Amino acid sequence: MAIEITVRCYCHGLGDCMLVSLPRTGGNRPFTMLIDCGIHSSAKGGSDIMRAVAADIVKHVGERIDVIVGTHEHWDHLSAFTQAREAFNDLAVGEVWFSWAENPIDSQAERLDRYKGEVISALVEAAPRLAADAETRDLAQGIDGLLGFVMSADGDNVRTAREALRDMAQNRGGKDRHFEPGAIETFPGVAGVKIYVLGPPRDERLLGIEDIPAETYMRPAPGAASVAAVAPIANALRIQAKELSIDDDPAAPFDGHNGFELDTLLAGGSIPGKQPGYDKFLKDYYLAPKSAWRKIDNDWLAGSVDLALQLDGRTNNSSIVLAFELEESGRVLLFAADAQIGNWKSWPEVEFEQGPGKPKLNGDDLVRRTVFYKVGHHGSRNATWSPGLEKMNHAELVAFSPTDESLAGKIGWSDFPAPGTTTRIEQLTAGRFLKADDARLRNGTMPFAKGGALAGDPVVDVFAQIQVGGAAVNLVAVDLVFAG
Amino acid sequence: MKAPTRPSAVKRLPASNPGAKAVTKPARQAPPPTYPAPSRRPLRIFALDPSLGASLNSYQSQVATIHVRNETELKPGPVGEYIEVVDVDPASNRYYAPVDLNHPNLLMQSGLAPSEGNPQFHQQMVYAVAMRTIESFEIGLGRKALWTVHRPAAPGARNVFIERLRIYPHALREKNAYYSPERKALLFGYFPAQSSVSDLTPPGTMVFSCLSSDIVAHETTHALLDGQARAFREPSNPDVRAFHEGFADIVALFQQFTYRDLVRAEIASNRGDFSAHGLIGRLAVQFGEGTGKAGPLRNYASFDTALAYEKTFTVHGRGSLLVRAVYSAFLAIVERRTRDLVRLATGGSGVLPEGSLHPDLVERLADETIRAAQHVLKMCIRALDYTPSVDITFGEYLRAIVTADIEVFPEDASGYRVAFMEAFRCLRLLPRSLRTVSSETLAWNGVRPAQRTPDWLAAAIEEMKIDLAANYSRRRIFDLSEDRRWSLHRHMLRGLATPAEWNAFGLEDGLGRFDGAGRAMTPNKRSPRSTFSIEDLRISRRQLEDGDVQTQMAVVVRQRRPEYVDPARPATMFWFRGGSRLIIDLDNRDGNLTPSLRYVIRKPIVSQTRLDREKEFRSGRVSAPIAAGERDEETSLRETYFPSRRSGGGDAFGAREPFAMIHAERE
Repeated sequence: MAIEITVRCYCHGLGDCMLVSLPRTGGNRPFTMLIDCGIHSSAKGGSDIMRAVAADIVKHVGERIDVIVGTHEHWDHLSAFTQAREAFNDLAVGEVWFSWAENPIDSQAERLDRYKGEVISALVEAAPRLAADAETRDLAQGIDGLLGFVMSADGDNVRTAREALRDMAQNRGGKDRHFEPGAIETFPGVAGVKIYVLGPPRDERLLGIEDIPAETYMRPAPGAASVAAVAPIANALRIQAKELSIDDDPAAPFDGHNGFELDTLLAGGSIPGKQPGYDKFLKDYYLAPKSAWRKIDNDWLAGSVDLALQLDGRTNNSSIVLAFELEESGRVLLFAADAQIGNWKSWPEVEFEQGPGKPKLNGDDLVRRTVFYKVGHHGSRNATWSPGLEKMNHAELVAFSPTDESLAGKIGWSDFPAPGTTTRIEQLTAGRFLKADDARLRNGTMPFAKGGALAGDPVVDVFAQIQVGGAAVNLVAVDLVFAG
Repeated sequence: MKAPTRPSAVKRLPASNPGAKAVTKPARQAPPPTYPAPSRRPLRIFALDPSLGASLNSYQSQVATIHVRNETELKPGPVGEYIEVVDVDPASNRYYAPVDLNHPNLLMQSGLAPSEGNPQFHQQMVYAVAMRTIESFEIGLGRKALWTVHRPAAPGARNVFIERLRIYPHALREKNAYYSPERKALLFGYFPAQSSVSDLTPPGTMVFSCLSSDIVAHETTHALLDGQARAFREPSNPDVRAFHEGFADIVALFQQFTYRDLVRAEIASNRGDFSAHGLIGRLAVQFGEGTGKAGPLRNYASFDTALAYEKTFTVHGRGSLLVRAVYSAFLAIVERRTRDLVRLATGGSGVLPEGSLHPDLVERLADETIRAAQHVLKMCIRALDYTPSVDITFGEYLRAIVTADIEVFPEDASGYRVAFMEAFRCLRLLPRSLRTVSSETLAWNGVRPAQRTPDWLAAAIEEMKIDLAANYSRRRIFDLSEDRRWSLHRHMLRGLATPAEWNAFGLEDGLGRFDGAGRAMTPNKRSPRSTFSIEDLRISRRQLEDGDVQTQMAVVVRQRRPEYVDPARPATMFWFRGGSRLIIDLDNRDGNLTPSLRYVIRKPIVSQTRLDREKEFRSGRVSAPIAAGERDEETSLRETYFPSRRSGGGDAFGAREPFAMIHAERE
């Protein structure tokens, strides 16, 4: 039996929000699933936008939503669950879905959480220090842009949003669930659709978390970071603040009795009990005024850039990836969240049981049958693995990218979205590529007509008009309907 | 030069004469003996990265004693003529006292014993390895090495001579080490080992990049190359940065092959495989495996075709192609040099009885290997003077290697050139539109006799008053070359008349000056109608095969003009550069210095095809990763969020510290 699946794509800015509706048998109200609801913290008027989006979602689903998926712990995917908490107040929630990586009682997830927490607090301290130095100001800017994925403009941590989402299930009669790759879900009353979970992988190499220790009995000194990748920078920041001694810092190069306290000497002080002349060399070379341009007091802080990039990559890679299979036609709708290459690479190995006597299905089979691709990470280069994209050569392919090129440009990102990826998706979809920042959408004009797997002409819905920075802005969503 | 005499170190024993009566009145004092300063200073280092642990499984084979040039005036730091080691560690809030290598206790035992836990040993090691690298460079180039100048931000300020490269052995808390052109310094990082680094390194131990001799040599080479010519740092095509990396790897690799202790141990452990690869291949594989660097030769045995000149655009991937080519040439040369020894030792069968090799054979094989390594190193370094003034490609580097070698060895009796050409041909690292691979087609064309002696050249050289016999200090060499640049500039400007004459040097007649934003400036007295610059003027002397001394001046002549990747977007401006490198023979006939142009290696600024290629490259379309692996993922992430690196803008960190960015990506 062929069915129709509707994907309402919100084109509200740099952030993901999609509402999936499926008909139920017997004329009951449709099954609804919200996949993410957020906006990057650099977007102007973000809270107002998300409140309007939330109100529209509630208007569409009525009193109850069956499932909300929080794909991964990033502000541009989860922000509305705190920003628009009130708008969701009266909504009954059946289930909240996360990947295993957000499960508080999963030991691997716990390590990931600890890692994320330690990096964020190190970055929050490092960024202002970098910003204070004209030489490294641009690095601080870059780090701030990345912190915008994990924090609101007011400093709220994304964890607040994630837990608010979890509460929406727990406090309203629903439950929160955590999925492993290989899981298959169906819903009572919804015939002809299966949901496959492709990622995130458990393989620590693919996730890139192999350096996070599991042991909790090897607690580091108070104030010291526990994760090998974070400890060097985080502990150094503690040492600067005199909250940690060299001997307690496993990332320090030598035992504390080696060498002298540099800051005392830099400030012109002296260390008692030393033979005269012990600091002469430092004064003659490092502190010589004419070679002050060769000093390296803050150069080590540039290492926090690696931390920021790593945090971003690892969090993106922990995205839950869902594939909706329309059983009769075999067509697949792929919601890749922000999965990066490690996540993509794991899909061919993910196997799905098809019942006794039937061959197993793997992730690649689903990718090949994809007719709708939610473009990963707003179209940036690192989130669409080109060999994976090349497998999506279905003649009926349609794609949607919730992106905002002008905002990305303002933050200072280049190639965001990546021109090469955009061009290739344009080719593969024969132009049926919906970009959230397409100017025509704001006036209610749909950039492309029916075609490919689309069951009818897509419709632009201008659902609200709000004031952002003194200007009226139309908020729009596009309903894409697929049959199969 | 003064010998280092310390009263405590030269205490003399009383003359022993048991038969004589006790002397009551003091004997007439003989004049104190003078001790000539030794030319070499032995210092101990870790030849293999200690964090690599068990792969050569004993401390003894990791440690080597190397002999560096003896700087008698060496001060604590060490601070010598070329290098100052300053050991501050701001991240750990520490300053480590400097090592005094002239202390008698250290002079008696080849410096401090290698130890990971002693910062003073770290200082000794970076000094020793860097000095060795500098010496290789000077031997290859036939002149003293200079660091690149410091250009103060103040407008109109003169270039400042940098006497010493600074080395910070503990500057960073990360898996990184880099040369900072901004600080004229090498910054080395350290980090706690993770189990993922290697199964051989237990987690929780500290890994120091300054204890990896190949990393120290690699970073020192970056600094030397930067001092050689600024153009090597201007990424105008995918080869330029890859060349900087690959070249630094080549020097580091072949320097490794000159550590006798290491080579000898490696050959002695051989059991039966006498091909060059069997003798020394394992050393090459280990090269670069240490901290934070993917070994460029790691997959040598199973050369995967994933890396290819046509489709590999990451800096390290492309650079490793160059390393691979030179290493193949080296293997062919070693093969040739050791074949007779193996035949002699095995009675022609190539098969030895079971057991260890005869120590004499080990010694001789090590000799041949080391000589071959030194020779290859020399060829690679010498070629730098014959590279184009801008926009180098691997193919042009091969041209430079061949040309430089012909200059010194007109006959390729040992087949070295053939080995290089063959290796580069196999990897297709060839110049564009080359018909055949041979010395004749690859060597740069010499200047035609009629054009060798323009009047302005003779006048300029005369004005320079070059004294070939003088032994100048590096500072004096710098000052002289600053003055001589202007002499040449003046005479050339006066001498070039027609557009054709300008074009003969890759220059454009009438190309004026531009300000930093790319706006044309009106000509005035200081900046005439046609503007160009003379850079990197260097005089070198090399001994030729027949005993003659060849004296040459190498000069870079350049122009620049603003171009746009996308004419509609001013932010996409870049400087398009062109010009030529001149190699000028300075013949000393009967005491008269007669200059003649030997080579003019042109990269014309008017070349439209080159401009098109550069635009294509800068647009990012060429270098987009094709089969994206993890490393590319890291690269593209950084480019996305910290894009300043590619803009080349003035104050951005990435533009200032290009090597920091490149090296952070190489894990």
